[in-house]
Amino acid sequence: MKRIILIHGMGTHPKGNMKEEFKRGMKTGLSQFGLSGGQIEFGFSKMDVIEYNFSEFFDEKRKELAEYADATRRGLSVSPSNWVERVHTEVTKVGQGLDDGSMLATSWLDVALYCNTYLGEMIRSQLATLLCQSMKEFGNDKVHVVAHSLGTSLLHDTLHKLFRDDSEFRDGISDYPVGEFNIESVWWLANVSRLTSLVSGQKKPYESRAINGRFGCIEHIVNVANKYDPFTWLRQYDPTQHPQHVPSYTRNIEQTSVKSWNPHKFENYVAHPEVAIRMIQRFSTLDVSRYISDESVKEAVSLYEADSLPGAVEELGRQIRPLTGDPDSIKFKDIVTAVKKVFDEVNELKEEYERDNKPAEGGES
Amino acid sequence: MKYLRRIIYTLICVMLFFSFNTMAEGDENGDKKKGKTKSIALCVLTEREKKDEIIKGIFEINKPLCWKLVDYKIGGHVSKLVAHSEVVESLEEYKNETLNFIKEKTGNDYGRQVELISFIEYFYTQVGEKIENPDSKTWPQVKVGSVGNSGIGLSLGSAYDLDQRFNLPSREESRYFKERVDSEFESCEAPFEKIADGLNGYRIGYDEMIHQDNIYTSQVLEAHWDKYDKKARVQTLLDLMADDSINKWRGHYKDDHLVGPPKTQYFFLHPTLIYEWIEEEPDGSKDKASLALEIFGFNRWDARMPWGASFTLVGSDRINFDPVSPAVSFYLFNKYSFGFSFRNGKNGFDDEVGFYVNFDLLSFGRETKKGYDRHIEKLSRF
Repeated sequence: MKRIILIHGMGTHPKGNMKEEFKRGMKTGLSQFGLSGGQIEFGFSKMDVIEYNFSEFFDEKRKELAEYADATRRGLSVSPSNWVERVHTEVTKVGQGLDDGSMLATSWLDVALYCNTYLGEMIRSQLATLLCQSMKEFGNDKVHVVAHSLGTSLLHDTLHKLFRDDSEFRDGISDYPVGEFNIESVWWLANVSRLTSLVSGQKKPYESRAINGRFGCIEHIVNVANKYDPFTWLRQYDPTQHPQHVPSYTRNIEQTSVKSWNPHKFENYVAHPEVAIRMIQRFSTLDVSRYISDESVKEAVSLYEADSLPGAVEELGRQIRPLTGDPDSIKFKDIVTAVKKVFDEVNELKEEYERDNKPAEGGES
Repeated sequence: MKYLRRIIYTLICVMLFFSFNTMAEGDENGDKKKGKTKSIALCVLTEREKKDEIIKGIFEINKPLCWKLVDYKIGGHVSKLVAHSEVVESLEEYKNETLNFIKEKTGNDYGRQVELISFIEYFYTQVGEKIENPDSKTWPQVKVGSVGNSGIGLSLGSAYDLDQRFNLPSREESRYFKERVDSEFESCEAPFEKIADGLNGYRIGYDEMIHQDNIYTSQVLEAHWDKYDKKARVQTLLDLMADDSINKWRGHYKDDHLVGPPKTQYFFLHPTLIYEWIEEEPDGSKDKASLALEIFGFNRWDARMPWGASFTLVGSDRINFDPVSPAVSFYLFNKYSFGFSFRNGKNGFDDEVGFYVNFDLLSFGRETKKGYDRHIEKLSRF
């Protein structure tokens, strides 16, 4: 039995949803190879899938902040007007509407909460406990982690802090020696760790210990990016840029299909045949030797991409391309604006598409 | 109205009493947690592993190596030097016994025998090298799986040379393992995992120690964070961000390891509601609900007696005093707050010191929306 830990991204994620999306996505991807239901179920029976959910905690915090600000604003009615009140009003605006469910509230606020408040270190400690317990129970060579979006930053920062060069037994610090307890595989789906490290002050991904080999803490790294997902265009992560990566154990997969109006969606990342087949091979003892060749993967991917949404979103790629490199001059504010613009345009395209009476699907990130 | 002051002082004393009780309970819980150290069982297989003849067989051969490694790593009853020579001398013996055991159990029918023997020899050589050069290598761990586009195989992982990999036989090649897979869908990986688990058994004692140590320390950290989140003063988003920046600047958060919560919370432009009393105001206007803005403050949330202070601005229309005045707020036990406003007199009145209690004082702890609503309603009546 192998332990699979799922870590979600930005936004609200009710408990259990990610697990369902994971299984649904895997089934979609594996069905492109012609795997039978029995084979897929056998594969799942060898996995112990759990999710680390920090969404409930962040939701609660957002709600608390919004309620506190809202109550204070209403408290203004007890006082006459003067400039303290004016400042008071402006300051309390900062917290109002934080739980209104909009993209700005649920996504970018999560980034701010993770990068610029104590909540970041708090959830890193929680994840560290889960990793330690899983490694003890299953063995580090049977632990796999799938992280999506903001979850990639959380995982990256936690791993860097949990595995240390100068680790000592009973030094009062939660740490493993590098290279000796490597987690079997880490799947970065829409990795944003380079983006968040701009503002969080955490270790830069190309200098960190979240890499494979003797000086790292991971065996197999699979980095997956969707060509149309704006979050992966900005300060793209590429594990092969890390000077200590081990090439044979590192893989980049670029997805070029758009199966939903939200190309950042977790389920779509997993549903890609190449991701699904490599995951089931790594996460179970299902015999997939017949399907894993380059030719069969290519064939399954073509089949999968056949009903991809129209390529209009490629236009969006051209608009944001100037931000994809690594110029230090890019400001975080510009990145936020650019991503918002992309999502606005995706929504417009979606409306246009729906007007043409074609089926469409949506979903959370 | 002088009675009001007495009432407020009495109120503070009552709250302090309750807070001491709460603090005592907290310490007791903390001590209980500290005492919860689990016993560590080293070099012992799990019940499930014991049931498998391959894992158990290989492990039993290598068990002395497991104990020596524990001694070698944490300094038990054998000194490092003795452990070193003992381990090196015995390695050849462990290797031969392991190989004999595998041959005996599989009847030489596990497929690609020569390659497997060669891989196991390589494994023991690497264990020996690690003992010789403890700083330049890692303790080898046999892994089962594919690497790159290759099929399933045994290897020592990404920290070791990929060329020394052993490619697993197919089910057709290995009659022994073909008979031992759970289902027609299963690859040969599962049975070979048992050989890997058996060989890795030499380090389970060492692994167990490290895991237990890390689980304990990370749980302690988690408990501290939980306490901070529940007990420290409520912060606004601005407070949280300012607090994080200051604590980063002060070096609390470490770049290379996880830490617990900071000892001091910081506040920046923290808005609150207060109930202020000024002796020199006319009757009926002495006490009044007002706004306060804590410009900058701190709170030692986990001190023996939690306390904090902040530079504050208080604003309310007063008859004999300017509407805005500087003030100093104090906090106690993360719950209660009071302060003094320094009012500038007008209409010929002298400057006066006002006294106020913070909204939190009335709330007895963390506010909820309903709690705030209730208190705002009460304050509005004044």
